Amino acid sequence: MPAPRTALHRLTAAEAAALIATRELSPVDLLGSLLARIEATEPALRAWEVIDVERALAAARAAEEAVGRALRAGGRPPAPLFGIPFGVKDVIDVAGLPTGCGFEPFRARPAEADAGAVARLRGAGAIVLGKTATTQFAFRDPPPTRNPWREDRSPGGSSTGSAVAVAAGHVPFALGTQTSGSVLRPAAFNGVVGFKPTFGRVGRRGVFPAAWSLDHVGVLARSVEDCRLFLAAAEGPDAGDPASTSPAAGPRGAGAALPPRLGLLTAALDGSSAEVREHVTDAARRLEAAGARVEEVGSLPSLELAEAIQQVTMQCEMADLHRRLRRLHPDSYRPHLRAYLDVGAQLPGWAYVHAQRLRRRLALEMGRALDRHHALLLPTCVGVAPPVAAGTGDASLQAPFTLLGLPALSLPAPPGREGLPLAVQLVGRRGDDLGLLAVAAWCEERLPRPGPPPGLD
Amino acid sequence: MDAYRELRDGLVRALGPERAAEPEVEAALRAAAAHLERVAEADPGPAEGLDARP
Repeated sequence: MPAPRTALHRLTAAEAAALIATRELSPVDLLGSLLARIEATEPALRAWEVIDVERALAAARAAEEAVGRALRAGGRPPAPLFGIPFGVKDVIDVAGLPTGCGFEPFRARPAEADAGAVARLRGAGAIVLGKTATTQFAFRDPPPTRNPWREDRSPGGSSTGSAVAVAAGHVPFALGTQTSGSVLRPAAFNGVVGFKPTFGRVGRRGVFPAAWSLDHVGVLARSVEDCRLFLAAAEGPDAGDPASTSPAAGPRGAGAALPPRLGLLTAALDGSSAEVREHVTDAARRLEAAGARVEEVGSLPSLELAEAIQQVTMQCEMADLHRRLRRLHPDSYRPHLRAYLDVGAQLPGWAYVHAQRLRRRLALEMGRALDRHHALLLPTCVGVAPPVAAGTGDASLQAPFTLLGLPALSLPAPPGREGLPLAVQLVGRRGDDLGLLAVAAWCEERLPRPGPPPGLD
Repeated sequence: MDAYRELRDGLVRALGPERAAEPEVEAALRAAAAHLERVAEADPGPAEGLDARP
């Protein structure tokens, strides 16, 4: 087989799948390259909870044989992610592996079945490589994982290991979950693409909940195209998740209207660092020069109010979820989560109900604002990755869109003054995930992309 | 409303003053109180014919 030009551990899932489909790349060689990469860098990065080498190798060998059979029969591999390894955040079930959730009592309890999203990805030919590190129960207490760009800075959370594994070249993509900002923020801090679909678009069966009305399954990847492949494989109704929806439920078609109309959310710039403001303003200028129509948006619902509603909702739902488990394992909770749950138990019922009424109002207002644009453009985060001791970062620019269930994507950019990646966020219309992905792909082609973290390649 | 005092009083009754004084709890109380006050002050407005405002 001829050697691909890009190092195997830097291929996107789409690139690797295309090479596998024409037998220019063996799934076994791809997996071997990723395992060598993990062996070299994992001791310093600690992105993984468990790596399922034996089952992944068996799946890669089976994929290789299946590709050979398909080509001999004059066809192509039967699925779009055939032979592509991926990581799974350790709050999502993989049959036979524990779903640890960063919680000691769960570490020895293997899941009986794959989560819905994992099963669908396997059905598309992808191979589970292992479980990636998470903050405890997808909250804020960080795992030991390190940021590959600067070890003194946070890798973000809660999909910490998934973001680091993709940035470090361990896997082309990995699953994450987002309840406040847990896919997009670690994506931004580690220089990879993060995508959270519309609420319900990817079912949550087999995902340990953080907050039932806010949880989303998303993806950390190296390209927008890989996010599209993830969505195509993982989306769809799931009888195990009553909130899951059919892809046909949402509108489609912003892709037909490229170059896009973008709404630059100036309120989000006001609270961001100077470096982030400059980066997003520069990105807006570049996109406008390439043909996009960029209009300043100043009249959206208050981001601060949206964050407050999201927090009241999440804290009430988490306090309820953990009431029984805390009685069973009172000493296994980490300090920030324990405090959050203790305070959450004191929030009055009227506050939760009032928050849901406000949430409905904001959803209507945001929907009207998005009718005028294909996507909103804003920073993913108010700053670059903070020092490790400062926690996993600020969710104020991701949480409002999680609250409203809107599709959102973080596009990474080359590092700024502190040697840390920058990013912009694009937020789409509810249900128009394909439209958002089309806009994001258009923007990705016209904006500078980050290389790999220094010292790793 | 004094959301901080209400939340803290409830927490002291439930878990005692020592727990309420721990730094992580104190930080969580202040954050939750700020969010609660902001939510309490906001007007949900009419919602598709279900305007329950007094």
